[in-house]
Amino acid sequence: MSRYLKAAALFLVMGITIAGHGQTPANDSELQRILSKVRENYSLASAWHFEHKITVEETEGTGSAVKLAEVSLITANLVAPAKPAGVTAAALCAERCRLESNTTERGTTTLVRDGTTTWFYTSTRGEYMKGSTLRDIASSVSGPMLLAVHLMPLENLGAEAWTDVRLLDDGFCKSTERNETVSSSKLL
Amino acid sequence: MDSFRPGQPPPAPDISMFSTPSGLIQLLQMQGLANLRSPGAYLAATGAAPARTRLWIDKERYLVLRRSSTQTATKIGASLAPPQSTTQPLAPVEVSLRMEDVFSRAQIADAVQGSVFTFEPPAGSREVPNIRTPAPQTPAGTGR
Repeated sequence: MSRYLKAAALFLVMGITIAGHGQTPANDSELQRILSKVRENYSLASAWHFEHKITVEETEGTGSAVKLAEVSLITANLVAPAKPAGVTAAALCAERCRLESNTTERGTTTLVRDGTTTWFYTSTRGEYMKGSTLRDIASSVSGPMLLAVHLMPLENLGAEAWTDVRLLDDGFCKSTERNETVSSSKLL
Repeated sequence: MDSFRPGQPPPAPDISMFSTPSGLIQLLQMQGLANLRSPGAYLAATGAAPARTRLWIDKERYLVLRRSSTQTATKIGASLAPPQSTTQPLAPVEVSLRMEDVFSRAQIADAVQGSVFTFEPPAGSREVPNIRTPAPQTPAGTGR
């Protein structure tokens, strides 16, 4: 079943520098209004569910592009009652969450916390661990790194990380439920 | 070695360094999510322009639906170029990195279904001890 996420889309382009070295974004009221709404959405979200596919390619000289990574991610989270909302590391998996990654070579890994039990399943081994908290099934290195994989695509919306932000155009794009490419009739 | 202190939450990762394609591929490599058979280290090229990112934003819900980034980076490690290339292995090489992140689902707040937070072990899977399960005690006098 495919459910369409029909949406009129705005195209923004920006330069990203490492946080702390940014400059003031373009002083455009419409652009600032849009960015403010987006940041507010992500910083105040008490629950979220994102499914997306990340592809990274490398091109050396005039050669053809080589795919370095292609990973599908499911990132869902419910912030604990009375806890600070927002798409942040502190909120992720503190109450309920689902962090799933899938690649052709490495299969699927699934981390689910249902509020009382935390599960970590690896499809290639057909094995799972369970415990009370994230600390029971991930080390102090692998746990934060796993969170980073799922948080990175949803963060960095802060103004301090952006320079030279421009609003490109209105357009239209749509995507299907899973693993379909968003297409647009008016890409710039 | 686990550096957690009992009762303390895990440290919050600073993920700002992973916001560029070069940082992201490093992160995916560390998690075993990259395809690389000859992994290299990717760094922002000295003097190059910062990574450029284009966002597609749903203007009804103000959610990011797609993110596309390009960056000129320096790769240190084995070349992915064909064997006939004269590129020396391990020599720093300037490469262009492109990252596409396409969202097929973007929901916040009440739209999130509670069923996504449930898990049933698949048939045939088996449970293994978690990392905090105490190791079996060796009875005194039986060890070497």
